[in-house]
Amino acid sequence: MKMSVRSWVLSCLLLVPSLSLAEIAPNEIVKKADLKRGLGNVSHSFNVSVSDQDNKKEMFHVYFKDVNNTLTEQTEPERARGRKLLMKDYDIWMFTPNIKKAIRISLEQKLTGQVSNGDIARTNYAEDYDATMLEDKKDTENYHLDLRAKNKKVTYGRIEYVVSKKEYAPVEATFFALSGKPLKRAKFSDFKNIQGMSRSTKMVITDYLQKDKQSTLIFQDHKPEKFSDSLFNKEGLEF
Amino acid sequence: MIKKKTFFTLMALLLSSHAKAEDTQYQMRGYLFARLSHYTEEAKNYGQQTRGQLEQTAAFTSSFFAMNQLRWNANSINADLSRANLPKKESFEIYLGENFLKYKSEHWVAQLGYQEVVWGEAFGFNYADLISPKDLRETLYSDADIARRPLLLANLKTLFSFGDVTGSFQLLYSPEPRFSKTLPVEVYANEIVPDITFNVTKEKTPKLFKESEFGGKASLSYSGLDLSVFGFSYLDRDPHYVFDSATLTSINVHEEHNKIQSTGAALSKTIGDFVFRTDVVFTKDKMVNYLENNLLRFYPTDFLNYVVSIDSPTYNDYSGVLIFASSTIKEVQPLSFREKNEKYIIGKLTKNLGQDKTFELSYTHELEQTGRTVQTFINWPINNTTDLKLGGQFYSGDDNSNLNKYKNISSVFFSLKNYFQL
Repeated sequence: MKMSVRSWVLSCLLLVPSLSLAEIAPNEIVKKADLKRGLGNVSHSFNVSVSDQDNKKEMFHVYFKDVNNTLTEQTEPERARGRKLLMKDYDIWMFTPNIKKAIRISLEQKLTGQVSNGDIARTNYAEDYDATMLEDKKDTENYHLDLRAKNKKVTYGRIEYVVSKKEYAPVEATFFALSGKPLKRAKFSDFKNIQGMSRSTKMVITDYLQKDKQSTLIFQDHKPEKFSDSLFNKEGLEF
Repeated sequence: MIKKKTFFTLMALLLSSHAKAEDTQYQMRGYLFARLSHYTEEAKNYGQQTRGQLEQTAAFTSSFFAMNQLRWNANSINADLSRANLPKKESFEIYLGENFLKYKSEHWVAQLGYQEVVWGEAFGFNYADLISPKDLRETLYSDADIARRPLLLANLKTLFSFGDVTGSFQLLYSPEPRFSKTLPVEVYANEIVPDITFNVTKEKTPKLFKESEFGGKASLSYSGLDLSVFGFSYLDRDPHYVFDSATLTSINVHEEHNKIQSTGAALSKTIGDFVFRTDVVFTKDKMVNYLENNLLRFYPTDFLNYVVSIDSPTYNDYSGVLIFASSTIKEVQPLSFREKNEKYIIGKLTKNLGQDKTFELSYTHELEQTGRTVQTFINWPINNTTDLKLGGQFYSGDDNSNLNKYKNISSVFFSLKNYFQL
């Protein structure tokens, strides 16, 4: 009996490290962290304010049907009011009131300041990237993940993503171009209880080379909402 | 015009009567624009232009909207497209912009009233932008919304989606055709008959329901591709000129606008980070003027217009567009007001200077009859409501080139545009 208890304890001790490694897969960590940055893949709307280092502010209203159907409408400043950006799968169209027709653009084309289209409306990394653990990081509090683009249509080629072990909360992300060049770094903060879960409401993006270039995104007014398919139809943007 | 005033008044009353209703979202907004130009060609003088727009919108319910616009335009110029060294010309124009009611359901949208409808996928030469009349006195580089004029339309669009395919069918009907505001006929004719003055009697807009225009468009989008086919039967937006009488120094003519049909297709496709666009439009039996034995005549011929372009992705804040445009007529008479082929290449480079500031440089080359134009500007938003623009546009080329006809408006300019919400 004594032997069997010792064997059991030994077995447990041997198993602990392998269990801790296997307790959650990297892609699952990313999925959980995505839920700390938005309501996840459920139909909802929210507002985003983007301000730069000179406190110039832009406001957007986002209609999020699911990860493949998002519509972003600019509400401020006055000269940009009514600009719309529709993202459907990996297709993206822009509508401006003076041109009066929706035009197809590529996903990488910038929307404002240091902020890409994908930073505002395509925030579910689990859908677009495959994650692996970066093992060489000696950080006991956070997971360090290497996110590789599933295809060349996504905003970034690679993301180095830091997620807290305690609550799977996103901490920091470094974004790389498809060429491998580092582009910018984002820090996630201001966690608030939204729809029953603690979620980050602030993302500060800093240019990787020009550190004085900074954009602050504030996510707010998350509201579950149902939308019709026609809202996410390119031909409906003019209305 | 009385009917339009009545329509406008009813719209304004409808909007203002609902403005205070608790469930109505009401907005009044607009812009003021002023531009000072220094003409650099023979005129070497100054011109100024001011524009404004006041717009009120009301959303009575989540499905029912109304829009009401008033626009004005005041010019004080010393040069125009046709002749240099003109005496100073001042003009003031006030007109109604878009004024319509809109009903939007889950799968269809209906708009009734004066509105601007734009077709096509490409830029640079908007051959597929058939529906709305234009103010052709605006140059190649004017904002499209400034040159476009509204048309009375019943506009019905159904939206559909089947799996990954989305699209629409659109039907248009206009009971009141309108014509473009054209350049002086001397721009086209003086190369053939120099030093002759043309006295033109304009054709009036047909009365309501006397003529009608109709057309439709089918569009679909699927996996990186947008495709549409369209057709429109309408009174030619451009006039042809009919001889009335002549003296030794002048010719008296009047305008006519024939019924024509245009059909076409538009396509855009994402290729990696590039976007390819094309519009193709075929127009049957459009009239073209020519001179025969010193008499002004006209003949019908078919037009084939197309434009292809490629947008580059952004590299280090630079992006570019390359455009090729071609307009060909089937038959050409000697001493015709237009060439058989008109072909252009446009290269445009944009640098994002950050905070919505942009620098733009574009060059247009006219291939068949060598003509050139360069435009460059810096757009500088000075605050959340005001844009400052500083730039220049320069036209040159062989005497028979189209771009050389614009040379008198070669200028450097400075403009301010202020957006407001009341």
